[in-house]
Amino acid sequence: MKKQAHGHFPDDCWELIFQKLREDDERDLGSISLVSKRFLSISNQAKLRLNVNDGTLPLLPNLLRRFLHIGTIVIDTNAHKDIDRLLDQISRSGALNLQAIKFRSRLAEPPRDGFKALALNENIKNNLKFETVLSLSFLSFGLFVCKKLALIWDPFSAFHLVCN
Amino acid sequence: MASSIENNNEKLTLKSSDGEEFLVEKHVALQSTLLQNMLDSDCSSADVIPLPKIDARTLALVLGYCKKHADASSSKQGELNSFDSEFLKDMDMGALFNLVLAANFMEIKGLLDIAAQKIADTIKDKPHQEVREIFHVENDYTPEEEAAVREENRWAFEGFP
Repeated sequence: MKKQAHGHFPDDCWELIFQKLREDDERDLGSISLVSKRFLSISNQAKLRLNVNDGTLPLLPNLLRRFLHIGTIVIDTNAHKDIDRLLDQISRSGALNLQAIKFRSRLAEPPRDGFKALALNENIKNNLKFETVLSLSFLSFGLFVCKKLALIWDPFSAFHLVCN
Repeated sequence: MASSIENNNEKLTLKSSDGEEFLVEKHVALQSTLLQNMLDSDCSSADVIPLPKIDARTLALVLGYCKKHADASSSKQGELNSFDSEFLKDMDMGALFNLVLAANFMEIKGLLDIAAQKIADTIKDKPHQEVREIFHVENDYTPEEEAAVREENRWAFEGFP
């Protein structure tokens, strides 16, 4: 291959490529952001989905500050107390594009305090419009936030915050 | 006057950055949203349409992709998928980058998606030093800056072998 620097390659094309990196393996993003300052900056824009497990939990506030375009947060932890705190952290973040929060595992009961905290964030509440709700998919249960909120507990393991 | 709808064999001429002209059937050209918009507006198909950012080699590839996708019926998705992977199979990185630029400029979403995916796949599991090599990107971090980014990225590598 002819040696050719790709410095002329526009940011939006790099961003398209970075968005095709594996979403479930953060190492791809880790490598990209260590390549150069420009790559770091583009990769921060390109990150649309964040996986949160017990290891990343303490870093969440930093990650939410870094990846401003996050649309989906996938939560993979069973600790109920942690999920309340986690949702509270999300509610206090600047995640303006947030459209879905997905849970990997089934919870014994809904994180009510966390949901209440989310409902109190005007930005998050207003961003998750009713139209987007229909396109959201969840593994075991979902979280919907709209302008008016109600907590519904479904004994068949599903519960939602829905418009009323 | 023959309208474009009556005349399905209507062709138009595209001109690459290095001056080569390509005669293209209109339904093939319509795979490109850019060309579609041009034809929908007042641009006559009798004109030569210059594509100053796309060289002849890349344009030939792009038009090969468009022809296959324009001619295939929607029921043959499996066939198109194998065409797509075969199409990109032995392509070098330079050609892939040219395809992304061309597909982005001509607004051919399907081609843009598969070419970008192919590039992303080549850097899977590669350490950043190798990614720099593949893309010929110069490291502009100072050792201190690189260490700071590495520290901030530690979470990304945790939980993996």
